[in-house]
Amino acid sequence: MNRPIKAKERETIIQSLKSGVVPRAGLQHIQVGRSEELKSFIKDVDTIAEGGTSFRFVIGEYGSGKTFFMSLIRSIALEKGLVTMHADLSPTKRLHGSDGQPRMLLSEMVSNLATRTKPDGNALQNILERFLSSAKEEANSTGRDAYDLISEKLNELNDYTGGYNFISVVKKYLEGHETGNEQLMNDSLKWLKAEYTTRTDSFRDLGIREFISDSSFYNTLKLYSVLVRKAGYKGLLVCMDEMVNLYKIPNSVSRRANYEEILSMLNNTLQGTFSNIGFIMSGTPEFLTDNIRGLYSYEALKSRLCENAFSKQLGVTDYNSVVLRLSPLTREELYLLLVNLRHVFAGGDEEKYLVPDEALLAFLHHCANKIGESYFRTPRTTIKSFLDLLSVLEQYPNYKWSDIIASVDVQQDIEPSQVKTVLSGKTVRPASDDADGFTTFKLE
Amino acid sequence: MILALIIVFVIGGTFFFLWQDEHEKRIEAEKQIKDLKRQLKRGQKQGQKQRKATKDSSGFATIEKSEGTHGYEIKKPQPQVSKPLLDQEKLAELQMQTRASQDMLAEIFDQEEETSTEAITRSDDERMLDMLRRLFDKEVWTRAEIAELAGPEVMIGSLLEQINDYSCSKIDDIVVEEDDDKIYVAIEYKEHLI
Repeated sequence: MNRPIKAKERETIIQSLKSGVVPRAGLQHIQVGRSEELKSFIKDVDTIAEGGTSFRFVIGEYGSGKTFFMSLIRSIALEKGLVTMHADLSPTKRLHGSDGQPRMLLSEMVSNLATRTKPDGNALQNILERFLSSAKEEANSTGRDAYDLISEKLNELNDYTGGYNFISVVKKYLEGHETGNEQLMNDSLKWLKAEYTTRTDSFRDLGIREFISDSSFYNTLKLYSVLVRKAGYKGLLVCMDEMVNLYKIPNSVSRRANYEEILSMLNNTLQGTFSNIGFIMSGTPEFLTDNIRGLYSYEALKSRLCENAFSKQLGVTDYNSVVLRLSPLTREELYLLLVNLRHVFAGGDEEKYLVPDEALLAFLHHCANKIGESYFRTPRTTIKSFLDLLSVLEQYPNYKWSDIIASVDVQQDIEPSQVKTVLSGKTVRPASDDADGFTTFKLE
Repeated sequence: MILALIIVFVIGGTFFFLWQDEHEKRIEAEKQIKDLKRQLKRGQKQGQKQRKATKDSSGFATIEKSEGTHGYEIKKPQPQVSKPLLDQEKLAELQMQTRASQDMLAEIFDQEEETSTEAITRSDDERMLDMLRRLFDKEVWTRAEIAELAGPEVMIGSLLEQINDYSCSKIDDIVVEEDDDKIYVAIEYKEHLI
């Protein structure tokens, strides 16, 4: 608890949480509990760094902290020298499809390529240049041709579909750099980012007829895992959030095709067909267990993803199984989160705490009265309000927390599934405002 | 005489068996009573908790005559929200887990050791340090300026990656930040890195 917190980290945490998004740095200062889950995922990251593979699902209800947990694992992976790529699935971004959905998903993932020194993404150019620089350096010192050396170093890519074209584009980038042709460099990056949509365009700009299309989603990930390894990084971690979008696909054939893609990734990864790559996918429980539309509807996946029978019988959790379930936040966890946020706000200095412990309890009480049970089940707005409170106390030290706590506005967090209801004008009732059905009216 | 003994033995045996049967039944009954008592106690505890949590709210609607109006208002009872009572046992366990998590994370994020992604050759290292020294001359650069400074052979992306990798391993933060064409240098880190 007494660890110092850098000013930059403090700002990032506060600003991100105030805007309702997961901070990109300093997550270690606000993490609450889940030590076993964390231990298991750190082990996975180490396995990837040591040449192994990993495939995990993070399953939890809305507000249970899936995105936060994935971001934390991503940060750990970056810190341990891995490259990460991530994206949220949506109706227009899927693993399988014929209308550009897989290509768009891949394009976003490549744009979000991140390294320790570029945690916000857009690291493709740096990764590529790092690889090419080291190849050039080696070519210069050994007196060999740089292009031959690149072909040799990336020879492994030829084992995968599309590998030959991938190597050609990497060489085109080098050619662009050596000849001062910036356009060629940009076109090469565009190709690698899966932004070409026709063979004609690809051939016109790069002289390469093939482009990264919908059918090459998974293959391209394999190619990237080799490239980052050759560039000197320890592996690639692929994170996909909002997998529930696959569950929502109305067409069963299309849904099944997406699940087949997952099965293929799962099989290849766990069979150890390749190395230094890991996948983390997150979604809600129905995405996993729904027997009609979820992953369990696909028998081959169901048998691979079902719970560990022994741990189920013993009533314990198997933290190392493919599926990790995150339980919703409890009151106690939210309380500790507030404790951590107070600590972050004070820059890690206990002397500078703006509110005492009883204020935290009073704040929870206030939230409970305002929005009911959802204050700890969907804590986004609760956290934001708490930070607002601290912010006011910091700026106006003459105010007492007890005087202003009652005036803090706390809005109920709306689940994505409720958005339609809200837009249609129907009210979303807080959990505690339950079924008594009484309404206030006046007899005049 | 023998007959009398047999009769006594039979009667005694019957009584003995009856007594033993009764004894077992009594033990079983006592056991059941104990169980019931335990259940009752548990129920009472739960009831106490429930009462505590729902204290001061009967849940019934009330009819009040509002001031300044000519009518009555049927007030809906306030939503019954339990005070956020924290389970101290759970809290202590969570605190322990949180400490364990933070220790694990601190080991990863606060480590001083070098996690450079690739062994940089000596010449690379020297070139990178030389470039970093020159970058500290001002706070904002353009890519073109850096390209000119580094020479046509050097790939800027690779160079900046190397510099930041070095900086991360020394001070756990990046020193140059790219924003489209602009490159910002954190001058305040100069003395820590050079």
